[in-house]
Amino acid sequence: MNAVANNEFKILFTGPMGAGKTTAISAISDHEAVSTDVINTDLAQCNKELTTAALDYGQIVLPDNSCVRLYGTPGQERFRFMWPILLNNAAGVIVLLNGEHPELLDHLEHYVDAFGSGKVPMVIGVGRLPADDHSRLESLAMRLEKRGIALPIFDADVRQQDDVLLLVDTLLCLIEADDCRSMEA
Amino acid sequence: MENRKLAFVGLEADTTSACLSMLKIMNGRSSVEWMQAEPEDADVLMVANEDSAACQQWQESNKPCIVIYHNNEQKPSAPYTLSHPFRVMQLINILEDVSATLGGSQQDSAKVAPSETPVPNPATAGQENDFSASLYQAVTGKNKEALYQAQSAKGSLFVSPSAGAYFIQEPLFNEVRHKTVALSALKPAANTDLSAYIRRPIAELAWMTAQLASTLPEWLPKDGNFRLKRWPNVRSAKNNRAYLSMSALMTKQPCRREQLAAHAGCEQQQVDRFLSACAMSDLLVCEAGTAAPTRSPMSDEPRRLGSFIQGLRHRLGLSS
Repeated sequence: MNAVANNEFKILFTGPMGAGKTTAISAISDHEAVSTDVINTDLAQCNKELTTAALDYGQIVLPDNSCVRLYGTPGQERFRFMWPILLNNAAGVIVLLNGEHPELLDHLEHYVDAFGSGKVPMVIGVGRLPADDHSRLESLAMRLEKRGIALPIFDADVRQQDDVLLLVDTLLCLIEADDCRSMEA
Repeated sequence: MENRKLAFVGLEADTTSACLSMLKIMNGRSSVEWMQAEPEDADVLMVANEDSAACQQWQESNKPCIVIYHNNEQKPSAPYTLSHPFRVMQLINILEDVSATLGGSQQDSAKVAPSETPVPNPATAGQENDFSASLYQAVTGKNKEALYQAQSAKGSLFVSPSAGAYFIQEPLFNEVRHKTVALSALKPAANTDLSAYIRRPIAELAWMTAQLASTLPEWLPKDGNFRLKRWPNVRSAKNNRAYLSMSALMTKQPCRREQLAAHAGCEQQQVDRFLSACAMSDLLVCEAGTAAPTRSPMSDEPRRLGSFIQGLRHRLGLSS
């Protein structure tokens, strides 16, 4: 994986509909995220008025004028064909999940598998968890541990910038750790 | 919820205003509720990093001072410092650190000098080792169905490894949190009605216990290669970058203690406490194998990636 292409660094936000991808990108992007929102016709899947149909885009320009590009995948399954395109050359992936969803564990495995099974640096943020409910995060971690996958899983309210920053900082630490290993290889 | 008083000395109006806004946000997120007060009445002072008479006077007082310095200034040599601009979590963390040194009694707070070590605690030396060793045995042993009990002068706490929880009453919790109580080694307990106890995650108890140790506990091998089988909840570890870095590396491959300290850029004691906490949370595996290489800028790709990472952290205010 070439994480630095054309002096750009790409971070991908993914997860099911309504998990907060657009909000998370907007929280750290230099400008309001460019969204391709349309009226949500799949209210059974997620009860919100608008949803992302193609992708979200934000960017952070660094002091040396290089650019960190932030992409959000569309949440609907029918747009899954776009995921590998967006994943190409990504430095890392932030998966956002809805902690209230009854299929939370399945969503976790679905997105982890679709985005490299932990081989690409990946952080999981789980929103809408009851306060002090550690058991749900524990069960997610245990599910991955059974498959030999150890990924950081945090409760994250993406409306809080600090929570988004924690996810990004953790992802950067994973990328640094990968750097260490690639240097040995 | 404890109440503490905080005063600002020599800070610019916008910095003070930002702090006050953050204190409002902190309500409910921190174990202590902070209120603004005059310096004379305050438990803790936030002091500008300047040579004015007022700042010097209060820095030399016996009240704990957090020295606020601008991020383009050299870090001052004070026990508590905060680089401006800072984020809410950074403010929470440092206020909790300072608060812990004040002990449980507000009346005692004025006697604490900033350069003093935390309140002398009876939970050090052999006693904490006994408790930590027994906690490690309890969470990693085969008999996880059992309920265990530790006793202290301030009451008992119970540990249920199968539930991933411990049960404690608030007075003892405050003593444990402030490191002012000694706990006996855990022993199997009979079925107990725990309805009067608060259920809390074992990882939190492991974390608080690990902070008492000055070195790696005897029950972990000093020359071991350590790997994490799951990520710890670094939120309970105060979002410290060193813990994120160590966790990231240890989930990739086994690492020695010295390598972790070099990679995370932290003191060996911090590494040892982190390893100890992870072990007592049943997250740590000690195994033989190739340890992680030390960082050396040998190729262009890591260098370029490093500059991206550094630049991004700087832009997002994540630089430590």
